[in-house]
Amino acid sequence: MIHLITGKGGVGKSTVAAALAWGLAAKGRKTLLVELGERSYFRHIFHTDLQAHAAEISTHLTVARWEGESCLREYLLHLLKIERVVKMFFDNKVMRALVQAAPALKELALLGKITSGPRHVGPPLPYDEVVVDAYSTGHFRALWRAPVGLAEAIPYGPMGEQSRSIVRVLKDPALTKFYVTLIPEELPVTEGLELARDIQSELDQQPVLIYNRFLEVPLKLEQIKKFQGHDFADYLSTHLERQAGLKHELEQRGLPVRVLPWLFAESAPEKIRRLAPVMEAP
Amino acid sequence: MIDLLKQHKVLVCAGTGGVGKTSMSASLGVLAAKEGLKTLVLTIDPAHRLAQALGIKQPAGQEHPVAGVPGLWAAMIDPRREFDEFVLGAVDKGIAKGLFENRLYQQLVSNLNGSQEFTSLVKLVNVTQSGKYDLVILDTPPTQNAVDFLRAPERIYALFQDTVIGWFANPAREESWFKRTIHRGTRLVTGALESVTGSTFIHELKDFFNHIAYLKERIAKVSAQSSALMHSPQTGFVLVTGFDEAKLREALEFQQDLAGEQLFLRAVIVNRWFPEWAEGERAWPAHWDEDPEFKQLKEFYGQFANFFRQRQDAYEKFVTQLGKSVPVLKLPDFKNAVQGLDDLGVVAETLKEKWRSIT
Repeated sequence: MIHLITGKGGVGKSTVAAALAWGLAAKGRKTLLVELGERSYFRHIFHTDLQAHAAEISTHLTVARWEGESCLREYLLHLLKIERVVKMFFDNKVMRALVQAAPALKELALLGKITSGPRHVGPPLPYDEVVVDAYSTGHFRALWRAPVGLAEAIPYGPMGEQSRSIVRVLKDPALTKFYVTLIPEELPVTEGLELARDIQSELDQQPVLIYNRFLEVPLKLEQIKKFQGHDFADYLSTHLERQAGLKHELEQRGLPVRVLPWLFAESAPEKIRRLAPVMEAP
Repeated sequence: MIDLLKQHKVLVCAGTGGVGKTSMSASLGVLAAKEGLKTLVLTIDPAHRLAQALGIKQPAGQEHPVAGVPGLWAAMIDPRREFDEFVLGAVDKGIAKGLFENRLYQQLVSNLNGSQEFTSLVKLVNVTQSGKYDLVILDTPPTQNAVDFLRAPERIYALFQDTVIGWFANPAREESWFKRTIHRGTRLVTGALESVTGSTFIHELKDFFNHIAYLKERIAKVSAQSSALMHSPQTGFVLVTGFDEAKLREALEFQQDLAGEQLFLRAVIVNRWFPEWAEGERAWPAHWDEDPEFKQLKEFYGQFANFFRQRQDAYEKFVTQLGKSVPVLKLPDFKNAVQGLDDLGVVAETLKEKWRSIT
């Protein structure tokens, strides 16, 4: 199964992705946790260098960082077989410019690799679960719209074929699962729900909504409101009202919702371990 | 703060996603306008209520005066529309139409990776040249690193180099593109591209290049203009970040990116700092102290505050690494989400106060 985790910037996508991967690995599933892009976040969490190679964290958990160009390189090598030609391709000035700026190429290469298991294309990806800490909302849309757009634009030839087979995997609920992360603030919820709607309408998939950083307070709202005028009581009641209102809003959507508590823990590995069981709950 | 606003023609708010760049840009705008500067805030896709407060309506792209704040203007950048207008301004209608119909062009403009950044810079260059404003504040699209944003015109311009266009653009369409490639190496590379992508794609690609070849000069000009504008001493960067270890680390990487490009970082705003005021600045009735529920509330505050105090270490480290040359403003979390003009006014006043206390 491929798990794609998205959400607005700053909502804790990476922690959510890591918690999911951690939980799956703990159950004995061979799991690959992937981060996208040129900068590594997980290397700070797992204290390992992810600049070039995947790193084994435990028996069942491996972490990797993928970016567009290296995925493209790997794919070309798979197709062309000859390292020298691939090198020539990437050393070529024109191809460099094309890879840097040509629309959709990098996105296609990334999604191509992510979906390579079920498509049996490219080097084998021997994992039961692939968990991707994917881009935030805007870039995430661009990511899946690349193969969707190219599948329509290029009716014939390998590029169109690849795009169509990637789209088939993305649209298959038995192969791919989407997660939209939200936190109790207006903008992340609005953006997240818009994205969830687009996933539903454009990919016919039902994303899981992850309501992250849910503040659990030992007092009820009415109890806190008794102390109206106290700065913290006011701060807290405003927060709780917003949190409950937005929770109601996302429950209205008829999508599966998982609530992840705010943890008073600064250490990321500790957070990941504690959130893992919650991610698995039905 | 006023000096900062007055000494610059352009302020660029940079930072990773979800740190409150848009609210900060808008608040700085309110502050500048109140100080008598004719100010424009350029933003991308603001929160609905914030857009309402700034009077931004559809269609995007136009500059609106902000009702209630004399001297403040706002505009939302719509990359797609902006790119189309850029094309229409650069080439004749027939070529523009051909380009709009090309599917790769459609991908290019809807693919946020480069077009958002590029169109922001085009718009920025246009409004600064218009001379209508004393100050333009640009809210940048979220990127993983600052350089991504700045290099967007360069990346797009790379597509327009003679060699690239020469390869693909082909005035005599019937001529095989293989024939024009003399070197065996080049033939190998083009052959590889064709075998990987297919002839339909190559056809679309050639059509794309045949059209965009006409944009070359205009793109080169914008690329040079935006680079000059970014490196001007009258352009300052304001780095917005959040109060946790990961965000502060990202901010440091951003600062290094900016330094590497020799850009001027003028201020760092650490947004949503722990609300120290929440401990209770106002007095409360004495009998509350006897109430077990109030005790519980205070206990919970203790837990809450303690959690944030641990983050102080990360912050101290950040400030040390940042060095003394850049002022750092800590902006505490507010009780309500920053949404309306009043909220922006409060943020503006707080920024002003914090700036005064550290400079």
